Amino acid sequence: MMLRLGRWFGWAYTGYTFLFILAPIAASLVFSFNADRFPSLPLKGFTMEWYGGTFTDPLVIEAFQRSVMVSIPVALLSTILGFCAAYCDFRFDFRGKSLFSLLMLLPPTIPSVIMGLGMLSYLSRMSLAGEVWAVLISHVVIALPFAMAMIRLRLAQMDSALEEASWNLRASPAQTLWHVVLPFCKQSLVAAFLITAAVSFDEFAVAWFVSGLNETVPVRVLVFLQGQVSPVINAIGTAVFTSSILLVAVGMAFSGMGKAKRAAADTPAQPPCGVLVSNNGLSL
Amino acid sequence: MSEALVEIDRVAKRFGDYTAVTETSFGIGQGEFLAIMGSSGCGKTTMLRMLAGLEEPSAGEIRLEGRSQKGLPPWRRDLPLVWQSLALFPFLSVLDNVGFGLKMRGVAKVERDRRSLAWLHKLELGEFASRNVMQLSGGQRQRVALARALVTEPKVLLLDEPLSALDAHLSVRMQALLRSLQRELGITFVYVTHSQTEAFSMADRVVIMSRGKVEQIGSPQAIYRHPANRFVAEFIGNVTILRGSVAEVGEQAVRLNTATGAMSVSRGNFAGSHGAPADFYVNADQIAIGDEPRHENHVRARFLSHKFIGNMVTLFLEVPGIEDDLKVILPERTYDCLGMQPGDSVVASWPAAAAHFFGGAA
Repeated sequence: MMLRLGRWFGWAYTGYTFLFILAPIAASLVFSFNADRFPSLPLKGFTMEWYGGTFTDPLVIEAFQRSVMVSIPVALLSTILGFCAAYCDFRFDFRGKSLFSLLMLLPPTIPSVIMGLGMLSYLSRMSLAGEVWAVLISHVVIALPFAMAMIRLRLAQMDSALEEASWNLRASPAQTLWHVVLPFCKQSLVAAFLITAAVSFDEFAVAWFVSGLNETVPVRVLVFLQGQVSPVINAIGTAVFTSSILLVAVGMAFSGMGKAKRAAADTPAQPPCGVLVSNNGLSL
Repeated sequence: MSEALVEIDRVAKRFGDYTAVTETSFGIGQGEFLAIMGSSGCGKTTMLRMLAGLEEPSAGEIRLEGRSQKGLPPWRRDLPLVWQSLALFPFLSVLDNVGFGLKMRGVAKVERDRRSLAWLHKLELGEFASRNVMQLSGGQRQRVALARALVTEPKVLLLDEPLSALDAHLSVRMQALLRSLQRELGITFVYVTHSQTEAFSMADRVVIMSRGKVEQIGSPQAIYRHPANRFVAEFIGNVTILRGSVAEVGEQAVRLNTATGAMSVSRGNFAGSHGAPADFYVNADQIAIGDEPRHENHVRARFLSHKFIGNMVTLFLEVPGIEDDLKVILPERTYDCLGMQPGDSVVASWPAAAAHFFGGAA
């Protein structure tokens, strides 16, 4: 009886937690289609007006364009650098390797405000504060650990004889990297690209510090909120949420979670990528 | 061995304080099937990895057709290896796995596919060419790994325990395939294994290693009949080792006093003097069992147990004064006719020609 009660409590608590996280998002989604100007019940009827308004506002369009223009190079750079870092960690033993790994994975553990302040003071000294470049550089710093962790997990599944077998068949180390290591990591590279794009697209705090007049979407949303309470915010929020969730979902599918069965046949069980992904999901 | 294809010249390998292979020299001939055998950690795999260039010897050098391989990275050598884990590329089709080595040598796609397919057909894998390697069975993957190494037409093929993952039945079939392939192609195989059956059934010569040291090199027959030392004798396990002190050194045989009486042992090139202690061994399949002694050396023993190996039976006999059991190998029919029960007292006897000193009969 006690056991059953405990279980019931567990489910209820989990449900409550999800409700707590999802309710604002759901509310935003529902009110983005509500005809009433103010978010109040009962609902007044369905409308696409706010979406129309949003995507004709030049400031919003500009912010969206900027977010995309930042997130794609960020994803590309993070994935390339993340692969390099992961491969170094996988292949080589060197002095200070554990320190290197620690530093590589540190950024997500630093509070956003501290990170934002640090980036601002550092980048302003380089006369980059307020430039799009500043957002790009900061976002690479934030997104790179995600890319590295995902690719490192994939490399851990690689039979160490695979590279040696390639050398043994006359492939130089560079050819081996290209013909063996990269194809082996392909899925995790695509996944890392999509998830780092999502990280950059959503990131608010640091972008707020360093973006200046070059607002990204999350920063634009805050500026809106400071000026007025408009259902347009709900429309933007829903659009951002949908695109991020799509990126993460596709990324997870590529990271092999959807293909766990096939992977299990030849490699050890898939490490828990999901933990990493949900961290990102929660920071939306 | 000046005509050897591969020369291992005073090669040693150390990892820090640990010596994986102590200074060793031997040659491997053109078209020879050489097995390197030993238990795990004996240095056999390190030896193979040095040949492939995956480890650099700490001392000495390896020569292939007279050319030193010193400092040559693995990707500049033509010594393909068949891996214990197979190490097939999981993201490539069977055909592309086989063609990988050709691709790295700059062979054009059409030619590459033609040669790869020819090998796949030869190993009865033609129909699987477009499949992913993960869709194949263990035995099929094994043959893909073999094709991938052989398609580049090497002079020497290295194999690292390739059959250890297969079940007994498949292993026997693969042994036959490997042996016939090796004969047909006329290339040198260097085969590392811990399995005596595999080594003895396929190899022309066997290298027995223990703790980084080569204990004996010879044909399977020579090793079986004349183990070089106590280690090899115990490793192969087909002899009983006895100890005595020299009583008389004759023309053909040496008389020794042992705990179970006087014994005659083939002299070979024995150089011990009167009164010196000496170890010798008796071949298990040259001992006769009966109620009466049939040869000059004989002991009374108690039958303990037996073990079937195919159509042969190994008997274990307890002899007063001897620490180890006396091992006797008989054909199963002979064993049946004797009608022995455990605990029975029997007489085991053997001629002087069945007993040898270690290293004495080269």
